[in-house]
Amino acid sequence: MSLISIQFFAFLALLLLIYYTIPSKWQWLVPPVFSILFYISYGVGQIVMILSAVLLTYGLGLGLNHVDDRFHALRSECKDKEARKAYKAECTKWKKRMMLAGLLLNFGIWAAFKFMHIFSFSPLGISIYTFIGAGYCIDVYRAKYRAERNLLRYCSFMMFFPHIVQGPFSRYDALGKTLFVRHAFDFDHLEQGMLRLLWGCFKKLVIADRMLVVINTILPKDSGYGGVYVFLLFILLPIQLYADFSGYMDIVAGVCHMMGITLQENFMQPFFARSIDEFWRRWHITLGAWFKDYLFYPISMSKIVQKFSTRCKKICPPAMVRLIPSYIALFFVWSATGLWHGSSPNFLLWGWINLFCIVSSMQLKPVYGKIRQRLHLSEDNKCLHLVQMIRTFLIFGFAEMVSDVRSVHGIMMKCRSLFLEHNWRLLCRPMELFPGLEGRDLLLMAVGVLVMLLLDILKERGLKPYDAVGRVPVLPRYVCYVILFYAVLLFGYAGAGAAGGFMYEQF
Amino acid sequence: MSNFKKVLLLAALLICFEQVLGYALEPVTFQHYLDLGLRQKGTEGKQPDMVFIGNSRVSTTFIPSVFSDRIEGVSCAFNAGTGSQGIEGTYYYLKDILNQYDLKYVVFGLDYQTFLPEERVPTRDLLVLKRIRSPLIRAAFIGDVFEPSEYNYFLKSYQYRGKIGNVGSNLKKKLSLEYRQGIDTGENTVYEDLGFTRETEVFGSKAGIYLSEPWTEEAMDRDKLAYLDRIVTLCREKGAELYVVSTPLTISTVYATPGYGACTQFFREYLEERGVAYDNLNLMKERETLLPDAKMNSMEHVGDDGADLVSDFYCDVLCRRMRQESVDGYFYGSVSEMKEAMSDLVCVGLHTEVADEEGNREIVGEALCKEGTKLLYQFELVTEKEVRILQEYSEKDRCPLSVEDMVFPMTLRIRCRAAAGDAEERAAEVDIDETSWD
Repeated sequence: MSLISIQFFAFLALLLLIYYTIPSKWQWLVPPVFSILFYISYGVGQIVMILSAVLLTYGLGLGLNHVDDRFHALRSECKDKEARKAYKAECTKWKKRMMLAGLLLNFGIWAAFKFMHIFSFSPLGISIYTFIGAGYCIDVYRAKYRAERNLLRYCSFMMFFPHIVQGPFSRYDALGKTLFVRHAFDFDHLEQGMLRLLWGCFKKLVIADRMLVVINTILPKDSGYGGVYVFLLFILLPIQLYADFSGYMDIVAGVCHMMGITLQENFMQPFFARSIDEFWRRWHITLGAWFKDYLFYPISMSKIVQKFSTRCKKICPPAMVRLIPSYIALFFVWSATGLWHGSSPNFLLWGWINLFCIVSSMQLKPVYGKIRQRLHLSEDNKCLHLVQMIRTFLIFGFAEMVSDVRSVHGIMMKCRSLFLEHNWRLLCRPMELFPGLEGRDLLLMAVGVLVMLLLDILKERGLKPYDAVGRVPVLPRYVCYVILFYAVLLFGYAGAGAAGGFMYEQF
Repeated sequence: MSNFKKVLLLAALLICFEQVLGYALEPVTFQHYLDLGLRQKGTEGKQPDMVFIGNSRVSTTFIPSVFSDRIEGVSCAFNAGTGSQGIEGTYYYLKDILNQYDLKYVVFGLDYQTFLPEERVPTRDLLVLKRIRSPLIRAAFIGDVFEPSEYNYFLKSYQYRGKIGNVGSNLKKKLSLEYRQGIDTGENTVYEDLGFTRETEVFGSKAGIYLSEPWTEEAMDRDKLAYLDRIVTLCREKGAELYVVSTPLTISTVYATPGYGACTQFFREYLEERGVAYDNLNLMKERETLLPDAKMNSMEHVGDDGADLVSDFYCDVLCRRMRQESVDGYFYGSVSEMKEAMSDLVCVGLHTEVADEEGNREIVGEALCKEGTKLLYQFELVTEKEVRILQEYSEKDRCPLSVEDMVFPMTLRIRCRAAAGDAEERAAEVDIDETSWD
């Protein structure tokens, strides 16, 4: 069931009706029941897969808590400090073994589907719930919170349908706070949720799907669309992906908001980032946070890496020695991020391009500082910020092109043609520059992108758009809602009844 | 403002916007003119008692006034043919019409493509949905035929969202006096009266060879065929006499489409078993002279005065049927019999093929003829200034066309005659300009 379909809107309407009319003590059961129905719409086999992951991580969490509880119960029986220490080491060893076995099984199943293609079908949301479940288990292992004893509540969290297709990577302590409390009907929440959902549909259908036509015309061809077209890809790919992905996020956030549930934000005006490092703190925020908390810190702070870094003191300058643990951890993070997206080499290459940019940015930070001083530019210089934003945007665009062109030969051909094909005069002929789109589509796309950019500028300046809209008088506000609704209906490229899939569904 | 009032306000705004956008976007359809015509008949004290139903082949072939003038007991006939209408739409639309009027006669235009499996096209059924008045029949049609993912098409703003560029011309037409008076200002497809639309353009010398999809009994969609039974039962229950007719296609289509003869026989027997009279106008005697392909508008539509001829002819047939008289003298018994009676050379056509990478081409002649007929072809190139013979009459059915010979715009003509006998020469032409071969 696509999130942009008549069936989904009917599903949502029914969910909200039952959610707000059911006795409040049973309200928390509505999301898991509807999540199961959502899964069933994709096939009964999907339920089996996710239930397996749910049971595995649920059992692992309880098992870890059991070891901790036994330790706390029996530590008082230990005669002295040494005995307690030994007993603790024993418990920690058991916990580590359980954790390792559980995570190996969890990620092993994911890898089997993702990389080995053992089965012909791909379980819905496997890349999401595998990581969410692993994060939950690691948090329980670290005693951040107790494992959930109620299987239904745990199912409700893991199988929560808004986050299962493309994220965000919800944390149990964050989502749980809002998922299990009773929510009284709030008309403002409903209104704001609907507005956000509509805005998400607008970004997806009016901007992203339209832009995809141009990208799908230019990208697959090794010849015929070189030079300025390749440069155009650097610009279109990030915008299209942003409109598509953040559009999806707005839809699911809107759905949750209608239920009074708060979902973590996944985007924070990423095109205002001034470095790739900052970019990844604004783009797909929850994935970055997951890798930071569960991969980067454990690796960088591990004994092995710290020891290695100490040994490097003999050959590396002190400034670099401090950064070696980060570099090693970043290598693993970006390799894993690339592999999370896909098994082919270009995704790995994409990850390493980001890694290279971040590492070189860290290394060259003092050099940039000196250049800035020489040019008498302060850190707050707006022109400098603009140059940095454009640079970051183009680097991201280049990296996206690398991940989307599915062969190294294709990447080489595209890079080569960028410099060797002289068709830059096409910049004066926009109709030829955007193959596959007519004049009206081009205009709609441009207007949509400008509106999206304007909204991001306002958000970057601290405006909360949904709150601001809420302060507008009812009649003009509702007229705007209706205009937005009909803008989606009339100008949506694929149409509300037959929207193409979302880009991140494939991952 | 209370929440309830907010909901009402939102609903009211949505409805208003939908009405305005729907009015602006929806193109003018012939239904408007048909409604006006039927209302006028009502004011004259005439209730419809005969209807023609089917797709555009019906709407462009049968002139209602011919039948109401000549058939006893018919004071008002109307043509309910709707472009691209499928068999499901025909059934439900007919049901609605029979709900509204006490009809004596129903004429259903049958073409075999209607019963072949096809890709679902919701907009096709929406045209018919709009014509249905009864909410219950509408609901039944929606439930039976439409899929939930197509429900957004029920919003006119969504259905016609691709027509935003036509809003100006739409509104101009809808606000005009002619529109209110039921006067159509179409160009090639002109609305005449009571549902009949006339295609004014004809092939003339440009008629070629047209083939339709091959027919086999196994290929037919049985679910669609079941609707034919439902139509038969419906008419019987409502006391309306049903006649089934196949409208003319181009002669080449009838002659050369694999399985056409068997298809005709199949439907004849199928309907005979159900006590329904069936006539295939493609088997009308003297077809070659009465309705040659030059008088057709397309493979499946008659053009210009073709509708007058066919309406007269079929009216004669119906009158005889209503008097329980034989109509065998009007038709050939089968496609084979028709082919026997036709000329040795039936029709010709031509197309061009790329000969090499330098842009030279080859004109390829095609001909439909009786088996064993030896043919001679002549190829000509016609420009504004001259008619040049590229290849004199010979048995060669191909003629080279070099880049040097090409003068745009030009007309390529083929003449063909039988080598022996006095069979009439046939000719066909194709106009070529710079963009023809892009």
